[in-house]
Amino acid sequence: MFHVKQNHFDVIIVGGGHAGCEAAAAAARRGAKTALISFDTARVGEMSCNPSIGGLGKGHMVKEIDACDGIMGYATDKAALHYRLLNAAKGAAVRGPRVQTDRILYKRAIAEILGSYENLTLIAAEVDSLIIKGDSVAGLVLNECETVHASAIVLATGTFLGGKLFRGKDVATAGRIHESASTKLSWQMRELGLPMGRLKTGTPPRLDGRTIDWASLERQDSDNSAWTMSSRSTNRRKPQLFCAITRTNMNTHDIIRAGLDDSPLFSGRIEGAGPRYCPSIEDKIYRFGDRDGHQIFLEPESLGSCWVYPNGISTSLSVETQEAMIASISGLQSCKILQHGYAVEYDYIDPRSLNNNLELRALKGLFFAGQINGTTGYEEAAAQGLIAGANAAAKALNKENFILDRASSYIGVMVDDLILQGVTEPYRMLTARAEYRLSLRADNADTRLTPIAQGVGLISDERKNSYELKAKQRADIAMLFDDTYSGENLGLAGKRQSLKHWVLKSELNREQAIFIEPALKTYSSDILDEALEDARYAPYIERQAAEIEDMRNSQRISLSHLDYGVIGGLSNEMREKLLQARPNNLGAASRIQGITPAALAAILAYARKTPMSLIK
Amino acid sequence: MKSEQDTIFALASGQLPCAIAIIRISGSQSAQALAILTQKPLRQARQSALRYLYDAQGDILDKAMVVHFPAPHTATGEDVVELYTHGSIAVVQAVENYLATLLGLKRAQAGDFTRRAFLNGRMDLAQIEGLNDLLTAETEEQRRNAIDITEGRLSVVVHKWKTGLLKLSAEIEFILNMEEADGIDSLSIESKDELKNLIVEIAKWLNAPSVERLKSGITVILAGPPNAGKSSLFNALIQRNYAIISPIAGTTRDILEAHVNMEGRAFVIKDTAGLNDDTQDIIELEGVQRAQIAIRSADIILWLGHPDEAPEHANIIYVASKADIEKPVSEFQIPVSVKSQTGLDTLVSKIQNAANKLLPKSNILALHKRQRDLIAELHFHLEAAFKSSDCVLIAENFRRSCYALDKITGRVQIEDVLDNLFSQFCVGK
Repeated sequence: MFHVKQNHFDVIIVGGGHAGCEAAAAAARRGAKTALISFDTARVGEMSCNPSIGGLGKGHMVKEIDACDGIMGYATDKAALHYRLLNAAKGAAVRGPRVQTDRILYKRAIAEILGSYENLTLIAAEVDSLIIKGDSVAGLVLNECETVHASAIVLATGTFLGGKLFRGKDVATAGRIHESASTKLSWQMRELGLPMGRLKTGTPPRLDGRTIDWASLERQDSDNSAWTMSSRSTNRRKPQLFCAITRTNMNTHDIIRAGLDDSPLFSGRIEGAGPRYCPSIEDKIYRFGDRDGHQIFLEPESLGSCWVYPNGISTSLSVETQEAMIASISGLQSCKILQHGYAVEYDYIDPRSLNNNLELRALKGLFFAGQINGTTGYEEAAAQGLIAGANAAAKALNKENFILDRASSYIGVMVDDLILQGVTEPYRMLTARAEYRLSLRADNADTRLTPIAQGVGLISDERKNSYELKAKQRADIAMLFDDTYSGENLGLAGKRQSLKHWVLKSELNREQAIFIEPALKTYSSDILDEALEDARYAPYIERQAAEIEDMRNSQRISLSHLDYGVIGGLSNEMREKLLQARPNNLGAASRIQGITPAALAAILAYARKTPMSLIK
Repeated sequence: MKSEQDTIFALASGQLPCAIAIIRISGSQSAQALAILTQKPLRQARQSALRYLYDAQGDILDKAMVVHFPAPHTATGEDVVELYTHGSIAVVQAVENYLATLLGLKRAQAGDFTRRAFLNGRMDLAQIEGLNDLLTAETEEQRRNAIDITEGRLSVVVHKWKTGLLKLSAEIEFILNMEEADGIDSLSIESKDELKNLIVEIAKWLNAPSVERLKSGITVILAGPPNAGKSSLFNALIQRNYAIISPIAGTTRDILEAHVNMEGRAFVIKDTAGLNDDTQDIIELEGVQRAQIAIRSADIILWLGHPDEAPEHANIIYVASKADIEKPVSEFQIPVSVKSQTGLDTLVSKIQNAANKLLPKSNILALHKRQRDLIAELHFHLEAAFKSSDCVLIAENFRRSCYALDKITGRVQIEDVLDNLFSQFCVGK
């Protein structure tokens, strides 16, 4: 039996996935004596599903985590095989950086980074239960006999809490394939009366790359620009691999339809809702039956193995159906499956029971991050890990909370959505969720967040120095942008105007701007591009500033003292929504879907009539 | 403690004394209060009954029609009782004074009833603005407009716009958020058409006159050279002897104005000094300048001079004012004689026709300044979306448009709107 050498910590993180790793690193950066507990420490930093990080909306969050000196972006660059900027032809605000990574290198990079924190300990153990003292969490029982103590605990259990795997008619209790689930902890959560529910997700079969007919398929190469996920990374690693694209066809669809009888999704054995934006292939065929084919991206999983991830055909159909389906696809006719796809159903907690620091309202010191909060995706998980870890450290060390609001970041948007709206299906980030999208770009994440993160002690000296260097460059460029220039050099008529004006008016690109002001050449292209984007959207961003001010004003109207149960004039449905989310300010209340202006007025009227001093 | 626990009451009808006064009670104690007052339970809700009202000593206060409307389908969303008493000051005061002694009852403050209706979701902001207009409406046109808004027609239109807008938004967001939407980079042609139609429809609303104009009336200005008969015509139109009339040119110096209601529509008619540029009289000169400023702000001008000398204006009616002694110089002039009382009906119907063009079409409501400003904002963003080819900016303009619509219904910035809204109501409404 394993024995824990130390058993007193400031912060304990349960789970070694993307949320847990980011949480552990954030807590450690804030100076907390931190432990990360996982079933198997060799699997910490595992990419359970696709071997890629980033994408639309998701890439933004990786950049934001990086701006707070988080670890996901840096590890991604260390393991990168293939870079692609999605939506490259559209405006900068919606461009999504995505990187295919080597999953073995990624795990190694994470282990290295975590190993560099002296105040972070990895513990291999199964968590049996929480130790609770009064209204606070105090520690954990491990391996049926041992205890560890901390005043702040982050649960980042992913799909492991009450995890169940489905494939065809087979069912197994597990969190990931060949790994056991946390069953006892799941029971305790339900016994505590926490609002738990079930969600599902899935993963595709893994293919043997040596049996794929690559030559017959359309090739997708890495883009050849120089951007990286982390501003810590100085250049891209080599070598780079290529991906390939194939499609399902009518024959594939017939095979899938014939196999639906055995599907756990369609037979009703899986109760949990699945992600609408990342549906299984059987779901796609069922919902979009008239399409003649669906794209599949073939993504190499590692330089050191032949495993290939076919992105787009997540499935829980029976082994036989999966075999027939793969064999029907162009380029995969003689392809061997190394591991079959499966669906996993798991426990999640209604995130409306959390505060904006991701701490459970009902039990002090207990934080939740990642899939357990109803989200899907590595990036969503890691971003919550950052918030939960930083705030768990705040709790343990009595420091200030680390809160990001909707105007500051995608991370802020996600946390706000989760704690106010709850989820009905796994939550995936989309740029459409961010109302201040024009100012929340991937390329300005450092500018937006590094100073805030630095204010709460999340930033290393190394990053602080490089940020200040770049901030100086940004200030210099801003001055040059305010200087006036004649447009004649560019063949533009009119009197002298600021460079900012020309960028906006004549949609200057980088080369044209340098042509007008050669001094701009001395600055790094990413910083210059950021300034150009700011100038291009300036009128819109100024207008948004007023809107953001409105939002922040209404957030200053505190409702934290209100008892939503007794406010008159609210319909039962609205009262229910308010009781579940317990918005602590008027702005938050106004964002809850289905809360009418009249209800807001009732809340406001009540808040004004009931000064804080009267309650408690 | 519940927020709206008190039951409130107030005189809901007009000034006393009058034939019948209506006292309204709203809140959870209403039915209880009624039972105490009448000492005899009602057989049925929502049916009027004739009852004596008694005070604490059992003395009769009045004999009244009483009705009980149970919540929630009432004006305020709460239990409501209405007492139709005799309209004497003494009776109403006696009933009110007695009600005030009952536990849990208190006199309503200004706007209390409407506030409760709003809080209980019985009315939205646009409807309340309409109600305020309804209560102060003086002409048939104002009243119709106010009723339309109170019944939620503006809210219905706003909802329709928002539905259309969300559909367009969804399309653009699909383009921006789907990884494999490469190749599609703008709205479909059908959606562009829908957007254009929406912009055209919203523009019609903006071109309609404001509630303020409906209320204050359409401004009609009599202008022309000195001694053209403006003041005589002015007196005839307002059917009073208001302006001094003399054969001496330059009699009218300042602007005279009168509010009249012609065929259910409010007008402000203004008489101005004759436009005599040659005068040396500084008072008359000032009068001429005032006349010129007034002409610029007029909705309709009645021009009593030679048509060739008329000022530039979109709505100008040429009048030959002394038709009994002088022939019209142009076929466009309407011959009018105050002395022989001819042509006045024709002139009035001409004015009404011009006003018809200025006032809202029957399917479009007049807007408040607040509403109009927001709809102008909406229009601005939709136009910008239509002109842009950058999907990100199209999406941003759609989002701003929705924000403007949310402000109309009070979804955002609610606290500002509420603060100055309810104070405008009188007690009992």
